[in-house]
Amino acid sequence: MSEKLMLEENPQVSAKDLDIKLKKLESYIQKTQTRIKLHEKAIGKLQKALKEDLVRADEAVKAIKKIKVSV
Amino acid sequence: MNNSAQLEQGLKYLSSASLKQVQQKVAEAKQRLTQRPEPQVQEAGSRADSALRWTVKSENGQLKVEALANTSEFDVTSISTLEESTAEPAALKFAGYTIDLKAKISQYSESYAKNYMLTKSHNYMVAKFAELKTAFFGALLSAMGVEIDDIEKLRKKALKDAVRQNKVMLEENEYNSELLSIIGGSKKLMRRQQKIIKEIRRQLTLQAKQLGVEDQYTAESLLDVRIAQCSKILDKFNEEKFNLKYQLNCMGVN
Repeated sequence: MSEKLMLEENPQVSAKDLDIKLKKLESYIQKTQTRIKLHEKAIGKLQKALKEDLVRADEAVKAIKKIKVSV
Repeated sequence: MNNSAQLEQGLKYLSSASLKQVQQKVAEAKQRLTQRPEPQVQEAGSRADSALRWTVKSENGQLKVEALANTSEFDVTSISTLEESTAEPAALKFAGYTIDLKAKISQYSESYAKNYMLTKSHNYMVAKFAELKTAFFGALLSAMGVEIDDIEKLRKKALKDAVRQNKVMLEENEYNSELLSIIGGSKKLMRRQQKIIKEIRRQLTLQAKQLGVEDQYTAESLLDVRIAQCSKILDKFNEEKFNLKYQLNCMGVN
């Protein structure tokens, strides 16, 4: 697409504008990647908490069984 | 004039002026505020399927390129958006004419399914009214000779559709939420948009509870949905970047 044709289609577009757009887009891409990492970290934390809960529940079950045996 | 001097002057004026004069001054100040020139905003080369809407703003004679989130959050609603047929069923014999109701079985079946979906709405009044209509269409279908098994099938299909629709709407809502968080904007606008998104999320979660699928909406699964939506946004951004680079290359060559 030639520049003339592009400008006819969209008179607002200029090389400077495109440069600004690209820079902004780069920052948005970085932000998105950060958000993905943030969510993954949150999932990791949740899974860790769940595992801890499971261990605690197992210990509780074992303790209850011991009490039953002693009774 | 500094702030304390302005305040002193204002207090002096208030002590000497009548209520009518003060009201007039306030009205003038309001008018001045509303007459401020609004910055001109123009669209600048945005694609319909892009996650961004580029705009050019002229502020103090300078052009400024800004990006806005291309969201559809105001189209999203937690109420079913399937087409509704509202034709009133006519009697079998009316004014000497016999009306063939059997030809309308498919139409009534659709209405039955649609209203059954609405019985699971988060809105209590909508749900109750839909229950009434479902009962009416169910009775009508039975009277027309539709088997109870077929009505049961319709109900199951409606439930399945409702669950699917709920999931799609939740994903769309999370997409909008993430996109707005990434692109941002003025604090006031962001707060307002996030409030709407939060409300839609609440309604959809409530609807999921009514549909009996609240187990699928755990904190972990919601985070999974968010990650998936972020990846979708990232793909769109990369696509936009590719397009912009292509345009820039074209300009550079010429």
